[in-house]
Amino acid sequence: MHAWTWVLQRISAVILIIAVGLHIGFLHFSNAGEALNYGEIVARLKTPVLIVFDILLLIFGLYHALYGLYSVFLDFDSGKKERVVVLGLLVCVGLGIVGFGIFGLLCTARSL
Amino acid sequence: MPNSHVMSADAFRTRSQMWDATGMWAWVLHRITGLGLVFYIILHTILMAGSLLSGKEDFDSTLSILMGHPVFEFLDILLLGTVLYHGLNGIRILLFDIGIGVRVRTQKDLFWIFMGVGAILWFWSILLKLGW
Repeated sequence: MHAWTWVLQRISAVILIIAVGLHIGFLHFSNAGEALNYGEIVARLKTPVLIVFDILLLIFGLYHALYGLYSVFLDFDSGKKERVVVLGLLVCVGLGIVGFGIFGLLCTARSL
Repeated sequence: MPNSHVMSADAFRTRSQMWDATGMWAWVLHRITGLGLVFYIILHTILMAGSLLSGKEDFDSTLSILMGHPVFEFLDILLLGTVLYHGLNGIRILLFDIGIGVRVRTQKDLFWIFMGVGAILWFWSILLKLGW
């Protein structure tokens, strides 16, 4: 792979350290003890900035996760054909999950 | 010991393959936690988006189990430890990549400082979870 994917892995790492920290802090420790409910999620998604935040978290999180998985795969011996197949599979899985996540967020945001 | 932070090529070749080397364990744990988090983020995204899409009742009943049942509370604490390790060791790797603290001795010190910070954050979050 080209170097820019490696650089993007570093950039996503920096973003995730901040974004995952905020995500866990706000969704799991701001109301410690109480389970989140649908109403709170809908109210939260009334703020467009938070939808953008969630979508970015989803994109950078899955990029970082799946590129990490690809790096583990590259540490084993593989042929060019195998690498193309695995990469293609990971791109499809990534796009599918990011797409489903964004779809879920936007549908929930619209059900105000 | 003069130059104790500088390893000869031979020493490096042997020591880097030894299982008592801190860096080796740091790397192994980074991999294991990373693979665990890949599995988790996929499951988490599908489950959250799926239960949001299936409506208020399904979402609320799913969340009351995930954020209420003792087994899931325990798994949550494990998840937090996994995220803290991967994130803090990741900061050490990022610093290494931009050339901060690249000497072997400094790397070991940085690793243990981050692990100390992680232990404190983990302990603190467990106390918060228990409602202290």
